[in-house]
Amino acid sequence: MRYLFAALLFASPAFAEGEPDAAHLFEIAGLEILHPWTNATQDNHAFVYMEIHNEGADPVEIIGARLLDGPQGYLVGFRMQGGKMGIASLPPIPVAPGKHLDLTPRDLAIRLDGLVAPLVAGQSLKAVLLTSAGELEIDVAIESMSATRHSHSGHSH
Amino acid sequence: MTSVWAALPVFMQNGLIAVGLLGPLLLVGALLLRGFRPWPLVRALLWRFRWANLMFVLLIAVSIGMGIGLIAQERGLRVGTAKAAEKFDLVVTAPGSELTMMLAAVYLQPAAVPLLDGFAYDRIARHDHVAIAAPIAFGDSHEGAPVVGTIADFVTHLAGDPVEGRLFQRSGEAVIGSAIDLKIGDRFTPAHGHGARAEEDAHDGFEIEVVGRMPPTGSPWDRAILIPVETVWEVHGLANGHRVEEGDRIGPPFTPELFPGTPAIIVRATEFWANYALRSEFTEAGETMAFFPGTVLNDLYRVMGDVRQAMSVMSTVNQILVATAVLLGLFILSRLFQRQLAMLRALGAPRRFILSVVWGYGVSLLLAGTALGLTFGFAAAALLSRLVTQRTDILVTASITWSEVTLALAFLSATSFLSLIPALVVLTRPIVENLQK
Amino acid sequence: MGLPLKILDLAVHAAGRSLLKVPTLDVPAGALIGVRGPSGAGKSTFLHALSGLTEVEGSIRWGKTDIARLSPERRSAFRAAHVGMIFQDHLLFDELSTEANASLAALFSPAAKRRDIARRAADRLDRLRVPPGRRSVASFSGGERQRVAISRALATDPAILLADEPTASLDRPAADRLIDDLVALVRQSGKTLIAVSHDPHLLERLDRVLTIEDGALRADSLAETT
Repeated sequence: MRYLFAALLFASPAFAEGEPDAAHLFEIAGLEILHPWTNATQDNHAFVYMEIHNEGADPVEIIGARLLDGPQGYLVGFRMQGGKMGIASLPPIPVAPGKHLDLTPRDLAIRLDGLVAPLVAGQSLKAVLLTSAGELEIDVAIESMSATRHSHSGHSH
Repeated sequence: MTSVWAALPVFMQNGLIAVGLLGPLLLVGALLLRGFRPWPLVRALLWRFRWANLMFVLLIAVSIGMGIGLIAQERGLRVGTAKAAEKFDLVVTAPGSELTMMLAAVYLQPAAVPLLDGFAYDRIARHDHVAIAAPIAFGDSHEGAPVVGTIADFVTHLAGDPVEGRLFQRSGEAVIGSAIDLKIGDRFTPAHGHGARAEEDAHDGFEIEVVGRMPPTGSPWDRAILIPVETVWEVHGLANGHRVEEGDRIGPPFTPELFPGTPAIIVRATEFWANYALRSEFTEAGETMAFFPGTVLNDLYRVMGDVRQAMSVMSTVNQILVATAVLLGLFILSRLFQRQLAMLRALGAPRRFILSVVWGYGVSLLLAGTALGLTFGFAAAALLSRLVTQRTDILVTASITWSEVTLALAFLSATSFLSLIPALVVLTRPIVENLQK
Repeated sequence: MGLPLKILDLAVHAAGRSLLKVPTLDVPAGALIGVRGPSGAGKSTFLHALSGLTEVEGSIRWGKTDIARLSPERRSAFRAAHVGMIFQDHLLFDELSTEANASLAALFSPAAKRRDIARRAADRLDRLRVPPGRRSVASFSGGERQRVAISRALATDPAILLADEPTASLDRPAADRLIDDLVALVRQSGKTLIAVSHDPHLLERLDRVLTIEDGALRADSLAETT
C-alpha cells in the first residue's frame, strides 16, 4: 500500500522536472531572458541564442556568458563580407528600458568556448549569463543541429 | 597536422595541392618514358586519327567547361550581389517578407509594399545610435529607370566617391546613376509606375533637373535616378514633410504629421555593434520590421549553394561519363593501330616503350581537353556574368580561382591514371596475329 | 658480320596443331638463304620462330644464343640488337618522314646508340637511292617504300636480316632493281639473310633455297647439290 502511494506521488506532475515555464524564463534586475537555446554540436564551441526584454527602469548591458566553470564567452555578430558570412566580436550591448534584444542564428549570438563534451539535442546546458546588473544562471535548451529557432518559439509566456 | 596545414599561407596550400595532384602523374610519366622518345609516334597517332581526337578533346573540354563555368558563375553571382548590398547596413520596412523588401529597397525590383509613417521615421531618426536614417521612396520611373526619393546624405553614402556635378539642394533636382542616359542640366518628367504600364503623363507639369551624376557602384543603383523624397511627395500631390514656414529646405528632420510615408528606411548606426541593438529595437510586431540584407542574402545563398551542389554532382557524373567514353575510345583506337604496335614489338621495342606510346597518346588528349576545358569554363562564366549584369544591373564578374583549377587537375590526374589500362591491355595482344592483318 | 644459325628439333604448335617441324638445320654466318613453298606451308611461322616472335620447342641457336630458351622480353631485346625485319607490307608510318621511319629504332634505343642509328639510317637511304627531302612517305611508290623499310631494318646494324616476301608488291623492273641493291648490300656487310619469297629472280641470287611444305622442311638446295 505504501509503495502504491509513493508511486502515485512520484507520478504526479508536482514531482515532474519543474514547471515547463521555469526552464524557459530567467530574470535579473528587471531583465527577462526567454528561451535560451543552442544547436547540438560536436565542436568545442557553441552559439547561444535567446530573447531579452528589459522590463525594468534602467538600461542593462549584455556582456556575454560562460559555462559553469569555463572561459568567458562574448557577444558575436554575423555579417556578410564579400559574399561569405563572417563573425565579428562585439562589445557589450545595452538594452534600454522597455526595449528588447533578440539573439538569433546568423544574426547575433553569445559564443561559448571551452566545451568539453558534445552537446546532444534534447538535453540542456547550464550556463551563466553575464550582464552589467550581475550574473544569472540559465538553462540553455539544446535543439537539433540544424534548428533555426527554439522549439517553443511562437508561444507566448 | 591539420594545424600545420591551417598555418600555411593560402597560395602555398594551393601549390601543394596542385603538386599532390600532378606529382604522381609526372612520376608515372617519368618512369614510363625514361630513356625513350615516344613523342614522334604519339604525334603521328594524333595526326592519323585527328578527327576522332578532336572530338574527344572537345568532349572533355565541354564537360569540364560546364562544371567550372557553373561554379565560377555561382561564386560571381554571390560576390556581386553581396557587393551591391554593401552600403545597406540595416533596412527598416513594414512587416512582411524580408526577401521582397530587400529586393525592392536594395535591388530596386519594384513591389507594392505598405508605407512607414512619419512617427515611425521620427522614432528611428531620433535614436541615439542612428547616424543616418534615409527614406527610400520608389514608385516612379523615367524611360525604364526607377526614380527614387531619398535624402542627400544617403546619396553621398551610396556614391562613396564625390559626385560629378553636385548633390540636390532643393526639391526638383536629381542625381543620376552612372548608367543613365542623361546629362547634367537635362530636364525630364517622371512617369508614374514602372515598365510598360507606366503612365507617362500622370505627372505632367513637374520637371526635374539633373544636377549631378554618381560614380559607378556596380549595383542596380547605377540605373536609378535619385531625387529628394520631398519631390516624390509633391509630384503625387502630398504634403512634403516640412511646414510651410521652412521654405524650400529639404532633408531631415521631417515633421511627422506632414510625412506622407515611405516604403523603406535605410539605417546607418553610429557604431558597428549598434546595428544589432537597432535591429531588435526596430522590430516591433505589427509595426516595423528591421533586417540585415546580408543575412537575407546569406539565406538565399544557402539555397543557391544547395542547387549548386546538386548541379556539381551532376557535373561530376557527367565528367566521369566523358572520361569513360574517352577511355573506351582509346581502347577502340588502339585496335586501329595495333598492327603498327605489333610491328614495333617485332622490331624489338620494349614493352615499356609500347606502353609509353599508347599512354602518351591518351594523356595528350586528356591534357588538351582539360586545358581547353578551363578556357571554355572561363568563357562560359564570363558570358553568363555579362548576361546577368545586363539583366539585373548587378555587376557580376566571373573569375577562375584555384579551386576550379584544382578540380580540372584532379580530373586530369585521375583519368590519366585510368588510361594506363588501355595501354596495358594493348600489351596483352599477341604480336604475330596482329602483324598479319 | 652475320651470325651462324643452328636449329635442333624445332617444333611450333598452336591450338593443339603442329605448324612447323624442323629436325635440323645449319646455316653459316653471312649466308643468303631463300625459303619457298605454297601458302600456309609454314614459311612465315619459320621466320617468326627465327626472330623469337613465337614460343617454340627445341633449340634455335644464333651464334651462342639459344633464343628458344629466352623469355619474351629477352627475345625482344635480342631482336632489337641483332635482327632486322622486312615485312611484306612495309609497315611504315605515313605521318613520319623517310629519316624518321628509317631511324625508328632510335626512339626506343639508349641515348648512346641514337646517333649511330640515325647516321646509319641516312647512309642506307642514300645507298638504296631513296629520294631525299620528301616530308612523308605517304607519297612514295611501292619500291621506294620497301627501300625505306630495308633502310630501317639495317639502321641498327643487325647481324641477321629476315625478310618476308620483300618483292611481293613490286612490279618486275622495280623488283629487279631492289634485288640487286639488297643482295649487294647484304653480301658486302656479311650479314646472314633469310628471305621468304616466291620471286625466282631473288631466289636464284641466293646461296641456298629451302622448301617448306605442310609444316616441314621438304627440300634443301644445298643437300641437292652435294
